[in-house]
Parts: sequence; C-alpha cells; structure tokens
Amino acid sequence: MDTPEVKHSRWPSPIWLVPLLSLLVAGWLLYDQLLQRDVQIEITFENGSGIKPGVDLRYRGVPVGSVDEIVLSDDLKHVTVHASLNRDAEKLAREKSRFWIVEPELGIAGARNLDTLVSGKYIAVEPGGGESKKEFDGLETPPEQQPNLGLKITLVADHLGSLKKGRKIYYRDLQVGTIGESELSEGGRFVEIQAIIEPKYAKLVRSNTRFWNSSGLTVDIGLFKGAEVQASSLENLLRGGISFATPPEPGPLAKAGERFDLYKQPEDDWREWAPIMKWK
Amino acid sequence: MAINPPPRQQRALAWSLLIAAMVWLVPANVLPIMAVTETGRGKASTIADGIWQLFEAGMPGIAIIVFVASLLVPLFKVLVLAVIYWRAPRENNPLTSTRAYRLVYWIGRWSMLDVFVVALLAAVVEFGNLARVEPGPGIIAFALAVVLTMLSAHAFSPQQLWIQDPDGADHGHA
Repeated sequence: MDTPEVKHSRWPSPIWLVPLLSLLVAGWLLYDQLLQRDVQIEITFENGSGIKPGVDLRYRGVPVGSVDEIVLSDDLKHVTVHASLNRDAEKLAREKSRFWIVEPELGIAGARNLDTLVSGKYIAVEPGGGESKKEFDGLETPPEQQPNLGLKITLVADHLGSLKKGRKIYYRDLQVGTIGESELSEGGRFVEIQAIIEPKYAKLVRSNTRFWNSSGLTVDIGLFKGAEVQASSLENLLRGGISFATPPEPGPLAKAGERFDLYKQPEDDWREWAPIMKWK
Repeated sequence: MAINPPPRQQRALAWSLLIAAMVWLVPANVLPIMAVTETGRGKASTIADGIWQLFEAGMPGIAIIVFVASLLVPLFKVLVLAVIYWRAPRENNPLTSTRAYRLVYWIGRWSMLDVFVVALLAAVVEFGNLARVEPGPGIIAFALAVVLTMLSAHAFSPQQLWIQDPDGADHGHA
C-alpha cells in the first residue's frame, strides 16, 4: 500500500487570515470609536437651570452631542458644563459659536419648546465663525432674545409695564430690535430700558425719533365720534412691545447709548410719519 | 468517527481562531455594548460601566454575576484554551487538560447570554422618546469573540493530548 505523499506548503495556512483580518477590523473599530471620539468642550453658564448629565446638545433640532458632567466653579458663581460634541459636529465648536439652554416657554401669546417638557431641557448650539475653540460662555437667553450686536440705546419711561427683557421693538409693525435689561434710574424716578436695534435697521433711529409703548389697547370714546380702538398687532397687544417713528425731517443718526423718552402712546400724527431713510 | 486532520494543522487552526477571539475581546470590553436612551437622554455603556451601574444601584449580587459571566468567563476561556494548546505537543497531564477543555467547551453554549440580553432589550425597549435601547459596536465584538472562541475549541480535538508527539509534526504516517 502506498504511503500518502505529504506536501508542505511554503505559505502559512490561509486560516491565519482570520486573526489578521480581525486585527485590522478590530483596530479600525477601536480607532474609529475611541481615538476619533467626540470633541470635549466646556460651556460656562451662570445658571444650570436643571441641566443634567446626559442632556443633549442640539443643532437645528438634531442631537449633536451630550453633557458629560456639570461642575460648580470655585467661586460658586458659575456652572461649567462639560459636554462632548459628536465628531461630525466638530465644526460647531468655533470661536463665535453660541450655546444656550432651551426651556419650555408658556405665555399668553404662544408656547414654545413644549417638547422640552417631555424630553427635558437641552442645550442648543448656533455655529459661528472663527478658530476652533473648546471653552465657551453660554448665553442666558436664546440669541434671538439678546442680540449682542446692534445699536444700544436707553429708553426712559415712567413705568416698565409689560416691557420685559426679550420683548420686541417694531418699526411699522416690523420687528427691528429687542428690549434688553431694565433698571431704575439713579434718582428712582424713572425706569431705564435698554433697547437694542438690529444693526441693519440701526439707521432708522435718529436723534429726533419718538418711541412709544405699543402694548395694550388705546380706547378713545367720544360723545360724537363713537369708540375708537387702537392696537398695533395682536401679538404686540398680548406680549408688549415698543414702536417708534421718525419725523418727516429725520435728524442725525442716533449714537450708541443715546437716551430717548418712552411715550405711553403715540400722538396722532406719529403714525403717519414716513420719511425716506436709506436704511441699507 | 471522523478523521481528524494532523495535530499540527489542527492546532494551527485552533490557534488562529483563538488569536482572532483575543483580538475581538479588546473592543468587546472597551467599546459600549449598548446605548440606553431614557426620556431623550442617551447613555452608552461598556460592560464594565454596566457592572458598576448595577453595583451603584445596590445590586451587588447581580453585579457579580454579570462580572463573572461577561468579563471573567470569556477571558478565562481564552486563557485556558491558550494554555491547553500551548502544552498540547508535550502534554504530560492529559487528564487535567482534557477536563479543562471539556469545561470550556461546555461553557461555550452559555456565553452568548449577553448578546441575547442586548438583542432582547433592543427589540423590547422601544418606546420612542421615553426609552430606547440601541446595540453598540461592543456587542458585535463580544459576539465575534465568543463565536471565535467556540470555533477554536471545536477545531481542537482533545484526543491529541493523549498521543505522545515529540514535535507535533508528521504524526500518524510514520
């Protein structure tokens, strides 16, 4: 009987491809998941307002990261949120990016962010330009409620009324600015209200511009003319706001920090004022 | 009875599969095996994270079971098989080695427990925004490690432990 011929291959058995392939794939997986992992950022808030670890960071409504931990600063004045941004959202961490906490808002003029009642608060991101950065100062209110840019002026009123921070400023019922912080004047006789006009509309404000409180109804009942009701817009009526108009002969451009009186209601002809002002 | 390939070839096959299993054990333990999302908040956990969470939650018993079943046993299996394969060409205590081999072979069938748990959770816990479980890449690595360990144990036949085999080569047709 013949003995079988034994052949030894010069090549190692192809089964060694299994560990080799495993090494490659597992190595790639580890590299992909760990080394190129999320970008760690720090956001400082004045108030954590109930943010917890695990809370989402969202951009355009889509989760782009999450909060890892929350640390109180040494002086107890700030809360530092450590968060990780997904790799694909790395570009959101730029110098001018803005972060703020989104909370449910309930008001008579509307409800916003009601989803946060169920899913919880989250941190929203708005990307900005500039170098990439890891540490940020969080905003206390959404950016649309606090444009840091723009023409800042001070309005002086007897009462604050419903002109709280975040309410809008209108020109011809078009929103052109936002009301900022308000405080009592030095003598305590007036209320000083910060008003911020969006940069592109800043040229509409002249030194002789008149501001008035456009929230509320103006009801004028006369014996012969009947009742006359005036309100600017329903939203304005409910939420409160400021309107302004500039006389037919517009004065020089308003300077930053200039003070204006805030009238309780417009005089009749203010609404007809329509000077031509190149605002662009 | 099936004819086994020569011991050396057998061991090469068993070793290669075992090394592949060892390789996959690393991502299995380092990467998250599942991500639990509760009321919109997501958290990805590795095996070690899960054990620690059970411990923190005041369930040390279950934590130890999971620790043994998910961390210790897979490692133990791979190490024991490695020792058996290593000693196989010059085995001087075939009985102990065979018993160890049978034990590892027997445990094999229970090792997919983790994978089933994750698969079950992922299928059952699906409440939209309220709670959701998603499998992570770690569980795939874990499953691969378990399967490769079992295949490796299967490729090795303990009969060769009982054969005096000075160099492991050319046995059976002298």
